[in-house]
Amino acid sequence: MKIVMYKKTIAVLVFVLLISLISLSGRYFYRNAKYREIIAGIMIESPDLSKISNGVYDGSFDAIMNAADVSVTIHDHRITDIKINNHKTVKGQQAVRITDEVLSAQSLDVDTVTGATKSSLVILKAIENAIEKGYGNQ
Amino acid sequence: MEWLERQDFLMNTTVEQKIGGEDAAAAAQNAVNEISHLESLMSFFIDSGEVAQINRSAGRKAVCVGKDVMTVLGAAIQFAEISGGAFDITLAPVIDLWRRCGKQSVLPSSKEINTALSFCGYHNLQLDNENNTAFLRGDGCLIDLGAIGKGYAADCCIEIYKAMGIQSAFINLGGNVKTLGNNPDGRPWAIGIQHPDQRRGTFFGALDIQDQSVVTSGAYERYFETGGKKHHHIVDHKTGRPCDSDIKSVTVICQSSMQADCLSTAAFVLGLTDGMDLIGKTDNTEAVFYTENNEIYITRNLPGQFHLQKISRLDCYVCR
Repeated sequence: MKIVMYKKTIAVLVFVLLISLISLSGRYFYRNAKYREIIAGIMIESPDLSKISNGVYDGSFDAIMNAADVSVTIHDHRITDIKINNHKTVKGQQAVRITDEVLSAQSLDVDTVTGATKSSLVILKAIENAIEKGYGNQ
Repeated sequence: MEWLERQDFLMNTTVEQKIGGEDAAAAAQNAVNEISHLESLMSFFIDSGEVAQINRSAGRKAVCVGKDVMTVLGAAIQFAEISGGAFDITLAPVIDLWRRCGKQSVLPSSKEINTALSFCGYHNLQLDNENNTAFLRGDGCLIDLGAIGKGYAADCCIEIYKAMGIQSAFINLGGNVKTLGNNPDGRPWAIGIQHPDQRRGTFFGALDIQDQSVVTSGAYERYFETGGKKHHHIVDHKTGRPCDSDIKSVTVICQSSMQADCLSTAAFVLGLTDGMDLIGKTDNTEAVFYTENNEIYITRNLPGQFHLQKISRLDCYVCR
């Protein structure tokens, strides 16, 4: 009896785990797809600053997987500062394979990340939204 | 020691600073001012800048430029020579063509590409170091400092920190990193290398960096899609098209950020074998290549500094 109960419990646990994994990954793929849809649809306009008076304008843009909050300072009809307040994102010549012990670490803590130049449509859109608030102030 | 962290948007990307010491806030502001200033001089898009003046005067007259632009142009020509033209700021007509087409998600025609290519070639850029002038010989020739400007800016910012007595800091201009001293744990700064295929912030490995720069070139951030294909932003000097590289990204490590910036671009265009050769010919310079086959190749002096994320399950090779 005990062994049957034990097997049943395991089966239920595995079932619950599988359902959670499926729904979590489903949620991730859905959010990712929505994010890509939003990014693909972003259009950035060149704003006319001649109509905006001096001040600091806050703008934000949320693309689900990535969001930005910025503060844009406008002085004499020019952008003088942009602050990001919150951003959620050989054929070898005798190549020798390196063994795991030499190289790898269980988990790495890094101070910052190098990569191809980051391009942020999300930040650009947040800046545009900030400037649009300047039109509202006229 | 107190640490200041600051993020700004400059040179069309996110600029991250982490600075330790009493004068950290002032140092960070000075760095921001410097980057803004350099951007105003060197941006392809700012009409009042020196680069724009050089471009407008192409085929007509030489333009007087300041020390910063003169230094960058001189270095740009040297790196063009060393890399056999794989890095070349005078590829601007082609780069601009693809940029304009990319905004409308259309492909340029072969005729447009060939026309643009005919204006390219670093021999068209003439520098006079005595009179501090720069002259583009042909009408239609252009320069774009996008592949060298951030590196130069990072070098300048580190000098600013040093001049203010700062001993520990890093600056990261959209992925172009340079460090000073040690991190808050008193150890070399740990710089992760972005995984080309995974979401931003995920890294496949990390480097221990002390007073060096780390710069990466890759096709995975800036591109447009049309006809079911991605067209990235790094142009091949031979074809006038986005280069068909056998690598997804290359990360270069050396003292000068300007050099790292140029060599990473060149190495990406050249691919694994020729890219490794180029790095091998350059003193005190190391690199990490991530290939299309998801393998990692590193230069021979790097093993002590490079750590692979075990979970990435990638094969890593050292070239002897």
